[in-house]
Amino acid sequence: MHDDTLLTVTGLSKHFDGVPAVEDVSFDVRRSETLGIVGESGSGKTTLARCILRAIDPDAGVVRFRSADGWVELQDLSPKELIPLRREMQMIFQDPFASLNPRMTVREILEEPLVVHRVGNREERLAAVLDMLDHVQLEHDSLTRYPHAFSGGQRQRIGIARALILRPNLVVCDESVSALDVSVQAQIINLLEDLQRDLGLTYLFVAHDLSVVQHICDRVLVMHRGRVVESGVVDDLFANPREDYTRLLLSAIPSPDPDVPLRPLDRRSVGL
Amino acid sequence: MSEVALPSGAGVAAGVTDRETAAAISPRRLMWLRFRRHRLALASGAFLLVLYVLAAFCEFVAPYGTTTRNDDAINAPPMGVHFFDAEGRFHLRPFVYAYRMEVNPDTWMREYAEDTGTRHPIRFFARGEPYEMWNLFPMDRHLFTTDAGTYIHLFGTDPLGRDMFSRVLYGGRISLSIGIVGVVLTIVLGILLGGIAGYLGGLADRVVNKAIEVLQCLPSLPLWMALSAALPVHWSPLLVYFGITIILSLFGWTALARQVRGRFLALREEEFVMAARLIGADTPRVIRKHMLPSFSSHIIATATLAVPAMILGETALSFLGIGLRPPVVSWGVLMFQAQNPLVIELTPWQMFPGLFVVLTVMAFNLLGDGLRDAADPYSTGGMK
Amino acid sequence: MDAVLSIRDLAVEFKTDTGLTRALVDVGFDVPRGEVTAIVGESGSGKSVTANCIMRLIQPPGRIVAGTIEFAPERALSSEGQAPRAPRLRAPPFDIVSLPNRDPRLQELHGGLISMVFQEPMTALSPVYTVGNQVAEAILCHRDVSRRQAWRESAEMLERVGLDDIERRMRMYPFEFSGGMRQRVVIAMALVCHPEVLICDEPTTALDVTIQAEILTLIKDLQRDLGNSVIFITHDLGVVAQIADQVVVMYQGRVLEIGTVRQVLKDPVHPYTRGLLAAIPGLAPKGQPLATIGSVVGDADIETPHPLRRLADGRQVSMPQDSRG
Repeated sequence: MHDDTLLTVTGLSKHFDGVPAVEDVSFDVRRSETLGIVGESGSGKTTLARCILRAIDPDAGVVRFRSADGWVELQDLSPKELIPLRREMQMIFQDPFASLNPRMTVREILEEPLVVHRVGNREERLAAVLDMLDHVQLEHDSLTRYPHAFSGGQRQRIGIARALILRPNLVVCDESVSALDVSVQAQIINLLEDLQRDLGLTYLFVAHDLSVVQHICDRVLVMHRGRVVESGVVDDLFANPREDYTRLLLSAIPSPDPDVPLRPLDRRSVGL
Repeated sequence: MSEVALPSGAGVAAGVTDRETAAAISPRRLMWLRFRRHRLALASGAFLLVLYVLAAFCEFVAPYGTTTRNDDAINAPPMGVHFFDAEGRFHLRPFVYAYRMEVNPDTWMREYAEDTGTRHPIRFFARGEPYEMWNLFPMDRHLFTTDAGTYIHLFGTDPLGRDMFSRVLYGGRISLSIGIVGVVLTIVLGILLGGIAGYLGGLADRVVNKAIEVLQCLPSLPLWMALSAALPVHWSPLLVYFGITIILSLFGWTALARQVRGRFLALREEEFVMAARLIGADTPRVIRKHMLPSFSSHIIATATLAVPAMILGETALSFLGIGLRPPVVSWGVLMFQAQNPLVIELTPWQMFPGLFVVLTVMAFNLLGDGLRDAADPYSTGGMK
Repeated sequence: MDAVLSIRDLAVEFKTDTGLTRALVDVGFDVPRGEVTAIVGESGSGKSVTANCIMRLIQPPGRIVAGTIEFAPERALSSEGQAPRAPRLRAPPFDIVSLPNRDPRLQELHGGLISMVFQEPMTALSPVYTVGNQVAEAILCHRDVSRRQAWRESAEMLERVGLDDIERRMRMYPFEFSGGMRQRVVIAMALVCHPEVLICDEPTTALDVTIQAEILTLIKDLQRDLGNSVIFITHDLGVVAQIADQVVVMYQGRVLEIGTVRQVLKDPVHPYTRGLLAAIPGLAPKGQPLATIGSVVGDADIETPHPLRRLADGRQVSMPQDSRG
């Protein structure tokens, strides 16, 4: 284990009605890195991410997180004991439409984490909210508006602001850019990278789009049927995949260059 | 198709400016804007409002009490309000004609006709029969009445010579309020039990669900009858009134509880609810801030749709003679008196209470439909 | 150029709570016969609305306010008194937009001459009929053949789209299939009446990338074998590169650039197209911020509408006269 390890996951498993979604997954996350988790639908990547944050409870395994007060094991904590730890680990969701309460103004949405954790007084909270709006490049007059007044990209910025306003260390991005248009997606990716640099964030980046992962991640786990089939530094792994499944995945990405024809590997030929 | 309704990416510019202003409005206002489009629901709401105001002030609005008898008008038909007299002269003050009673020599029935010789002008805000407003303030002014010694019967009279219009108003007070009181009880029971089932899940959910299933299996009318028959005979009319209300809501909560439970289950899975949990909000806050507001409007709509069932329940019980009993006047009690088929043939105006039941129930249903459509202002446009 | 569809000056408006939204503004392009035309754009660009216009699927509150879509089918229409599929007897071209609702040609158009594949295969399939039944039904709706014949042709088509164990599969229900298999069935249904134009509206967006690769290959192969024209709607330039012969770039209801796939993707002229390409994460060097549309050009270059103008190399661009060409 490195000195700068922020999170270690050991033997994590989660079953839904007896069907394994995540099966014996182990990995470390270092401070200030971006670890990608890729896989197709049903690979268990979202379940894994949610188990780590205890959005759902894992069946087995150990999730150790280095909090401000030292190491804690998340899997055994009661919901009440988890509440103070929520300041240090947050999630950015996929769907910018579903993840914001339509009946709250932007100010209420962004203030809520501060209110819940009793941070500051009214003026300080407002100052923090405005500061966060600057960080995610939204106008100050957004405060009184409701989420439906914003475009998808702007809503995702609100979701990012909500996740970051408590200044967490670990941020889980659950397909946070996959629902966005290409041009908006580029803006949000840039924003996430800027914020990581400015605030020293550690990202757990769950995605199915390998080109996004290649761009933003340092290391990557490839998941298939609930298990990690391969992991490593992103560029190495994408350049020299060792596992058949990774090769299949990479061969299926359509290149935007018409002179690089798509030659997907055959599922059966790689034995999947 | 829905793609045009979406405010598009960051490059938004052309043609969106007008939508910008529209998007800044609050959810409540959005609901009102959508509700306003339902003309019929709007009209129904207005009608019900008028009805409830009239019922609330029925002592003042009605020219007579429920027991005042006009011995000269037994089973008399409704009087027409006139502005022009028999000679075609216009009178600024509207008036009614006195009855001219004749006994039909063949049937021995009393038959009434307008005595165009005797005009009784209608006086507004005039002194008339004394009464106690809400059993508190002694008063004698009425919205309208005629001079002492003369009568006005807009809806005719019953076999004892009592004014149908006044009795319908007093009956409305009981019937309409039973609807509301019953629904409030229903909502409390429904939200409590449905919320427990939906949020806790597990055993609580199973118990509540089984209770709902059992209750919904029982035929409601015989059960109502049995329970109301069990109400002690010596109870005062007021106690019977509350007894009936409780009986009605004991069986009415199931539908609402089911809905609340379903909404809870659905909302628990919503991403914004999960987001609230992940920022560290505790359960009471998640329920209060994120879940309840999302379906309070649905509850209002469902409750509105539940009022007619209450009113019909009371009417049915009283009609069968096992609900409220005279001297209490409700629409059901009034209809009980009009049970005889001869009534429909000879004195159809005694069916007025029935007409009011029909209109009220219809209005509540239309209003509820409109509210239900408006309840979720985010159901169309933009969302998947 | 032999165009199977010629769209001219198409304008569509949607009535919303707050006024009129112009979903399409003077959209015009040709769909070459026997080729794949990709319409690419982000949400709100009007790409799906364009497809829905061709299918006559625009419903209130939407309305086609202007324009024509001229359809020149290769084979004769049976409703004009000739045997269906009578060889090489061209029906006269007609305008789809102005076709009356009860015109028999509209019946033939839907599913017979032009068919459509949607993003979500489950919405196109009925959950209560077997797959074989549904494909056969598509034949029986449009052609006068026996049930046995329809079943046989369905089996052939399903085999062509890559299903194995056909007889058993045909007796299964859609929910027993995976997403990719369902999309194959939908494609079989769309092609079983040998349409002249196949419209694919984001057919791979809901699918995993490995399945997407399979479906793309399938659509391309089938198009080559059957010789039909394809309109392929997508937001993914990678998909465009792999499937299209001609590309139409749309933005906010307008056409910005039309050209061959190599012209548009390797040498884009319009600033929006350039921005779109630069925003793809895979192409940018690691560690550097991605180009966003705003950082490539001033927004005004994109937002100001210009009429389409033909350049020397044959492509069309919506740009002012002095910029290039």
